[in-house]
Amino acid sequence: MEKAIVGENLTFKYGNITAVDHINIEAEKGEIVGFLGPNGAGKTTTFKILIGLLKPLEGNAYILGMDIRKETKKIQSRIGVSFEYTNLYEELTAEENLKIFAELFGISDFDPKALLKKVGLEGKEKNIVGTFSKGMKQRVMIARALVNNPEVLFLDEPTSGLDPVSANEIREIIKEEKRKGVTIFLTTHDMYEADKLSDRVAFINQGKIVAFDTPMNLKQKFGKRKVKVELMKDSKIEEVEVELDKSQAPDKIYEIFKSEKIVTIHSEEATLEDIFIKLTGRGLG
Amino acid sequence: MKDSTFITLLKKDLKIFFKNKFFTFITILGLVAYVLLYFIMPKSVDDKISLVIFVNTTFDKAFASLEGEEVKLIKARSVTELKELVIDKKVLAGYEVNIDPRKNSVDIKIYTISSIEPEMKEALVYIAKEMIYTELGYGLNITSKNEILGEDLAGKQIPPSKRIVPVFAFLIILMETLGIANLIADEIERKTIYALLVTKATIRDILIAKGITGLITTLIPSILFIIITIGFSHFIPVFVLLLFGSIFAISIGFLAGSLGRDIMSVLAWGALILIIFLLPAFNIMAPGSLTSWVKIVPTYYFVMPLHRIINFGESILNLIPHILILLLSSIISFLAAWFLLRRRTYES
Repeated sequence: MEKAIVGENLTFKYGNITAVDHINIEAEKGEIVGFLGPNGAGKTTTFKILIGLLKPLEGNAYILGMDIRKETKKIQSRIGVSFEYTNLYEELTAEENLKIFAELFGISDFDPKALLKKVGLEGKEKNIVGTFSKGMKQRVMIARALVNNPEVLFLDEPTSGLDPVSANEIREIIKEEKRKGVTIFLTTHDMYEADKLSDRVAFINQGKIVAFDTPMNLKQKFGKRKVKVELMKDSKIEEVEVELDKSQAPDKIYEIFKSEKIVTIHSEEATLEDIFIKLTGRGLG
Repeated sequence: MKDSTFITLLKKDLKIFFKNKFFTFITILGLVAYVLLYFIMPKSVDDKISLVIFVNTTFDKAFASLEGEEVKLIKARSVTELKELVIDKKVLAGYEVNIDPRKNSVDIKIYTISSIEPEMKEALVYIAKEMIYTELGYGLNITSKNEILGEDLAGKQIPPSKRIVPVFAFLIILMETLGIANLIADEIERKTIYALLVTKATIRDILIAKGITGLITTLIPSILFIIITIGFSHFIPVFVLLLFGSIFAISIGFLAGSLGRDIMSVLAWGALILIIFLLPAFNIMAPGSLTSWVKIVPTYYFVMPLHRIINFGESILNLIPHILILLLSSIISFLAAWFLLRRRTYES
């Protein structure tokens, strides 16, 4: 399959501090790649390199087969970007905000109403963006990223700080774009979001990629499958864990069931956060 | 830069500039206030001539004879005091008179703050001769020379309202510097610049669009002010200077906008720059009040040529070196702003 995003050996420094340290990243066409890491891990720097706002000190990036150093503007006309921070013209209406960018992309038959409807802002076209809630502003940001019908979508923390309902609505928009065949590079520190949305996730820590695979493979490779059982023992509840990948697991489970004192029983799989902690020794928060 | 990119950015900037009620209000208020002040200020100069004299003999008869006349004569105790009165513009001119009855001669040194027209010089010499004749009762051989204190301008008296015209035109332009700085700082602070930079727009496009916005907001009010106050006299050279002055103000606005971390720091930078850049204007209202160091301030090369054209009808050809210095300052400022903006957007 043709690759929509390729980052090879990307390196960037702020003064003496290495923010991105020889990382390799890629996304197939139509794939969602989640880019997970705690604050300051190098996510946004990598993001800026891939969208052409930063020039890497070493390595190179190719978007849709084009060199980001040489064909920056050409690439930027075929990608959509939503930033971590709300950077809209707050004194203008939602429609005016989108029209500016449609004109900058040279789109003559742009329909702001249809796009705003798509992101759930129907009827809000003429409202001043400054009066919108954070969730509504985030939808305008997503709409702006979709103005030029991008082939690759770069989303930096698209649901950060949103209430669960708004966050879910944004996730639905992302899924819809994927269904249309759009490649999505999703930067987040929300492991739940990455797990739900991503075909593959990359863990970045201290500027380095520590793992890059499908969530399932990562869980199988680094996680522990286990069964958690609550037993009634001497009128008290006692918790027992059985690791399923160990050889004595069947015997242990048999013994537990035989005791007939089970109160609750749950199977558990590792979360991406557990795996991240295992790999880096630190959490995502 | 593609036309469509530039027009879109320009439309956006103009829309945002005029959505900012504060700057729109200040722009209109400034124009109205300066026009009003122009009409309020005196249209003529005081007809009574004040003169100061330092003389090496008594001069009582001459003083007595001038009572009720249109010449007011002050006696200085020293040449230093005489010069101070001239420099402070408390008198039109000062006479240092040295009468030597034995040699039957009088030496007169006439001090003025700017070179005076021959007619005025003759009039001052004539007044001096009359005073000496009144005092002594007979004529002497009189020799006179003119010494200029402070900066040498053409020396004719200009009504305050006309003197203020270049200053106000300059202020209208300079005040817009903050508006332009705000346009840049706002784009950086709200980080909308990043959203623009991932379209077809480049930093150069953004700066040019803002530059044109700045030109519209500086040039139009200043030209309107000039037309309302002095009409179309010397219009082309004045227009040329206002254009270069606007370009300079825009470049400074860009620099202040690129230097500031947020709107408040831009205002702080802007205020600091404005205070320094306003200084050359004081020299127009009070010639000789500032020494030659003021020439290191680039706005000197805008406001002084404007003053010379408007109030002395000087040819713009004589002022080309001034315009070149102004243009060079603008280029340096533009390059510094572009460099800073690139650093702040692409390397942070």
